[in-house]
Amino acid sequence: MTHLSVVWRAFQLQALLSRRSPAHLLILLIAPMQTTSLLAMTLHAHRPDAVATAVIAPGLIGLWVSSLDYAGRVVPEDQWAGRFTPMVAAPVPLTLVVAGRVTAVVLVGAMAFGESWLVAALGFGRVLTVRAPGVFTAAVLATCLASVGTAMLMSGVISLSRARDVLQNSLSYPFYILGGIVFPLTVLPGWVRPLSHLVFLSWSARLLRDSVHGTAHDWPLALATILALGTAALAGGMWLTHRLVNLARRKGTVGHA
Amino acid sequence: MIHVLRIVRQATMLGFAEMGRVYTWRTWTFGWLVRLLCQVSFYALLGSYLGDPGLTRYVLVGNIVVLACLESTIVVISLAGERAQGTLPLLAVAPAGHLPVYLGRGVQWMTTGLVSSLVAWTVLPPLLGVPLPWPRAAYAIPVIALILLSSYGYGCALAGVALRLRGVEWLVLNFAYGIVMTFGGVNVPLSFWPAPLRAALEFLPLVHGLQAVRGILDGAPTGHVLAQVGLEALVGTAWYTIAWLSMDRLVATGRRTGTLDHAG
Repeated sequence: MTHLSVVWRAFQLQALLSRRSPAHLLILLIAPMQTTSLLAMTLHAHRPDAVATAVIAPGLIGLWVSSLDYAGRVVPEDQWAGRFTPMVAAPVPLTLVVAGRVTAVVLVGAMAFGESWLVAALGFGRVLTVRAPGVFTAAVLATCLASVGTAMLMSGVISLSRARDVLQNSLSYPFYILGGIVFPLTVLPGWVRPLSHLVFLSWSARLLRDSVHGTAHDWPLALATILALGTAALAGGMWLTHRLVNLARRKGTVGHA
Repeated sequence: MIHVLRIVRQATMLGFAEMGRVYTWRTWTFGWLVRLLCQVSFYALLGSYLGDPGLTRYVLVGNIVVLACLESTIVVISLAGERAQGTLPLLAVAPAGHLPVYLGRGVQWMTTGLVSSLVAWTVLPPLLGVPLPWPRAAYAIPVIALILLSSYGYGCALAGVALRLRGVEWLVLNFAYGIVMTFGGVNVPLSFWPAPLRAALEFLPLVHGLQAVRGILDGAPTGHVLAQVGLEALVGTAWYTIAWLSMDRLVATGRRTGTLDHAG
């Protein structure tokens, strides 16, 4: 089996599992409500220039939630369901299986972009037009790839952590603030901003907003940074997953939940 | 009555024991509480970016008070867990009945909700540059406690849905809380929404309590504040009644059809 077909089969497996688990579609329930909240604030404050932010932010939140919450649970859920042992024993690298599965989860999160656009258009009569559609599409794709990388990292960290519920419950809003997904980073105190630059959301949010307004002049740098941060997270995630499997093999705990 | 209170107390102890399996006081403080404070700050910073300090304070107050509703409605997860773990039939056959245990199953969330909203109430406004008018702000604390209670009834009532369908508890929780957060006057005044929607919003928890809190901060007449407090209590009572009827019916039907230990 080629590596690509392993990833594809893992993708299909996750799609089947998610179909049977309504909670995996949670983000699709949250996104319209978040769009409504953010758009209401924007329009109530008479700031039509911030409408793009209100429509883009729920999409970014969707990607982050899917990376953190569902992708982070992939390995622990396999352990609980008893799928982990055959996966480790299978003659394919587990990292590819996890990568395929988190991709499926992240794509569900990406659907939040479409939902928020529809809510703005149908619910508020605000049709968001994109001035630089090429850059916007590239930014969405790069953001999805970075989310897959981050999801791999989260999956590894959460699987190895003893406080996995705490991590999953806590790492949302701090990163939305660091990522400046609903306001420019200049709103944050100066000492926070260097940290923001390490979070791919901050580059994605700015690039997506700028591409909507047609002001994304430094898009190659932003795009390269998003991909570089995503790749670094992916490498970290693959290393952690590899370590997780080796640790379980050595300790004889592969079958433990 | 003492018997019932003893059961509620033991159910509460069980709730805290369950919570202790997820959180230590350190992980709760530096994980969950920080996350909640960041959630409030996220919306308040957006408010400051979009408008003036008046808007920032409006959004900040709304988002602090809504924490009480958020934590109280987590009771949906605790209640749904009874069915998932197969303990519902045991509660139904217990001589004391299932209702006291049920209504006590999420009291730990009300306690943490009170702590987190009070921490946010005292720490965040000065930190974000929009201090509250003390000592007047202290009069709002009992109203926040009332919102915790009414939201808890709302959560118990909606848990009826989560108990009847398998695997939807997180959807129910987020929907329940999300509707209040979006339309309940947290980030924008109720007058922003169309009239038919506004009429429906009167029946949500937090809506009247939050108006009372804002009234207290703005120095509104006592009559207006007390009227809003009364309405909040009325809405909360209605949700408790729905919760009681829903759970009673669930158990009665489950007994009759022998499906008490089935989900969905």
